[in-house]
Amino acid sequence: MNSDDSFPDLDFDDAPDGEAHDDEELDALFALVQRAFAEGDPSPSADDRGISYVRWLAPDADLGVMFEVELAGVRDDSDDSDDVEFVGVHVRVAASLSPYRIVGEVSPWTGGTVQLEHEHGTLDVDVDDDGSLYIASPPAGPLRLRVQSAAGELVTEWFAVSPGRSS
Amino acid sequence: MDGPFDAEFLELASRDDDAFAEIKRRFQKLVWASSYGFGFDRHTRDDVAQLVWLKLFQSLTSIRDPSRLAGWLATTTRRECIRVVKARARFTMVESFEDVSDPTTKELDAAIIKDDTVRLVAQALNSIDAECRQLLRLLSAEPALTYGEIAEMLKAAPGSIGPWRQRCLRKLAARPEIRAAIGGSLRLTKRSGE
Repeated sequence: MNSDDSFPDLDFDDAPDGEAHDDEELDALFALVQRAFAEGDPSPSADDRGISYVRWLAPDADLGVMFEVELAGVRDDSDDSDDVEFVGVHVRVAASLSPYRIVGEVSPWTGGTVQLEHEHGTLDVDVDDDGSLYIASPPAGPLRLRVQSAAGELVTEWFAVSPGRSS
Repeated sequence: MDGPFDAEFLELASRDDDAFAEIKRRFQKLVWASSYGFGFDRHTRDDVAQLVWLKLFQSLTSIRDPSRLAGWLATTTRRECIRVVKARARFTMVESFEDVSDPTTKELDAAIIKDDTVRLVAQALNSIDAECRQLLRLLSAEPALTYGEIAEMLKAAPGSIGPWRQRCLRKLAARPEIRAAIGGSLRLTKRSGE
């Protein structure tokens, strides 16, 4: 398997063992392949996860699910920050996290409030007109951001900015 | 609703949980199949699926061609998988996808299959190359993806999917597990003159 998203060129002339099968035989085999995947790699049963699941996890706000991302133009390659994105139903927060600072952006941003919640309380975060935010020397320990705006309310997953945090 | 979803239904799903759930029910298996082949455990694949549903929810009113929703979901799922792979690689300083994936992860678990023949086919699938396995997984998705959609996902020429499928099935047919289990019933014999 490759590290990128393309497959290598394939040589279709390279038959595996010189044996040939007609299309009917291969179609019959493919029917078994379909069953093998359906039974051996079943999708999770249909349930209410998804949007409802997100709302259930955070009943007072949508939960921002965290993913590691590349933030072009934000990340300083010389530091040890982690780039993440919290994706909610109506609001996203992209942020670069380090023990020294949190640099982020709320989108869409139509005004509102952002708070940094930590073990011992809450800090109000200044957000400029473009939705950019900057938090110097964030507290150690578990943190999360709570966004309340006209676009919607979002609370991020808990995260930490101390070195060696798990992602 | 049995037919393709139209723009009106997608708009409804943006404000109605039941309508959104109907879309999920229709395409859940397809999204799951599209995350196959990256060496993720089920928990990670489920996380990817959740993000895909979130992205769909955010995009419901902006999808230009609802008839291509299956392809949109499959492609979005694959992109999210690649993003997870790259993020993991960045943190673990590896050079290839194989270094990131867990070789012990069995995305296709033959042991849970009850039918003996189907179980042997699954074992044989786990023995062929990963590219063939992923192609056959995508071809097995429900609802079915078109060859064009699969080609786009795999960065392959649309015309290559059919021959590639046949080649992968021939590889599979050549596996001893297949010969032992179903060789007779499938008449896996050499053609005359070969």
